[in-house]
Amino acid sequence: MVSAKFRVTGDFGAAFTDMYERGFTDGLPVIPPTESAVLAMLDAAGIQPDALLAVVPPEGGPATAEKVAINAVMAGCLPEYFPVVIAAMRAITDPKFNLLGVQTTTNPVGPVLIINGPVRKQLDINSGRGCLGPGRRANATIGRAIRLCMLNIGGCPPGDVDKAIHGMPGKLTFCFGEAEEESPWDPLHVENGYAREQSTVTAVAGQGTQNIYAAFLDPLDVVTMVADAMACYGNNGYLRALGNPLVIFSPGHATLFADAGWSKQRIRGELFERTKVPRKRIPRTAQLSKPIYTDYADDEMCLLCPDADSILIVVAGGPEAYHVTYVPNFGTTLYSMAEIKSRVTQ
Amino acid sequence: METQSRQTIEYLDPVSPNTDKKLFVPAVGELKGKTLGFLTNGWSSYNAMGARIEQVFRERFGIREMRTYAIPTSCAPPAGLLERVIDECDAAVVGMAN
Repeated sequence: MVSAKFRVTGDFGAAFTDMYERGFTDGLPVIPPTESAVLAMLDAAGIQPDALLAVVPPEGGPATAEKVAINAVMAGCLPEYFPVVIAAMRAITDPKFNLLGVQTTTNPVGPVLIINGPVRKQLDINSGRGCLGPGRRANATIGRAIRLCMLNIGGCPPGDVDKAIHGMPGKLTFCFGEAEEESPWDPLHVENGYAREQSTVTAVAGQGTQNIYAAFLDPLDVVTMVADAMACYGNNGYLRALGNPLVIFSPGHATLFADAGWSKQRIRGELFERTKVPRKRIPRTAQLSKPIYTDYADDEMCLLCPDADSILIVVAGGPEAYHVTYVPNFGTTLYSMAEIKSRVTQ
Repeated sequence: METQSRQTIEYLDPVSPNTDKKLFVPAVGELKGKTLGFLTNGWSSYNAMGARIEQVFRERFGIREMRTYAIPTSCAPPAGLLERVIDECDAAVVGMAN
């Protein structure tokens, strides 16, 4: 391995303070990335330290397996998580994800990682109750590893290069599994051409979560309420009618829809139509930027995203048909997927 | 009961700076008589500042011309635009914070 080494005399707290003061952390305690811990991480994926996985903007830092493994150790990942971290790095550095924009924008956006396939069970990735919150090591540390790579390999310290005006808590970590076994529909990776037996990570550029208490018994009432929450024309999607809004339904809501004969496609269509906002609802006074709708006629419709197919629907969370989570999108970005391979092909 | 730990912990550097010199181009050097390009992605703050920036570059550095290229808000430049800037300008500012 080629990375420089730092020495700290003291306990783990002293090591954390040293790494914090060097700007290596997200502010939370980290595991010191010792050579043996990093080698264990690399070994778990069967990858050589000098394998180049990606180039990370804005700095253009080379994401070698060694550097990614160092950051994964710091985040608290177990070695067996490393193939997921590698796939996530590949997903966020796909050009269509627009990581340069995600890293440097004033928007609060960060990568939202959705895990599909058998790896969820193998790694105890939470796709059920509380899956977006605290409690599971895999959810917490895989997302965090990506954030640390964005910081240390991408060269994007908050406030300096990361220009987010407020940021959001999900920029620390935002990773969950889809509750495929509880879903009446094809999961996200199968919709995208993967086999159910394959494992994937999907990266979506999300701005946070909007909870919607939609405990109706009629599916049409649920989509009406969800669409009203999504039709917030201050969302970046409306700036250019671009992006992938993400809606997370609980297994209870998914079952409610399926029992009434609703497919994901029908839900997407209903949401897309109901999130159209007439130009006259948006003030015509001067703005600091020029959204695509600026010169629209009063009754012309402003769009959250290009079409119904751009809306992502996944099933996750506790079983009750109470709460829906909407993840607004950064807009100038598209979701990106990568397969998770237990032994990484270099 | 508390135990004191004064071990030495050795850890690896997580930072990966871009050291690929191929990504860098030579500095343009003297700006006098040169054509400068500016890429603007539609923020009105640039509209307010752009004229002033051009004035400063003309008066202090003697540039011949400043050309402004519009790209969509928060988007990457459209295909072919950067190549056009390379053809038409001696130097360019291709990224600005808004």
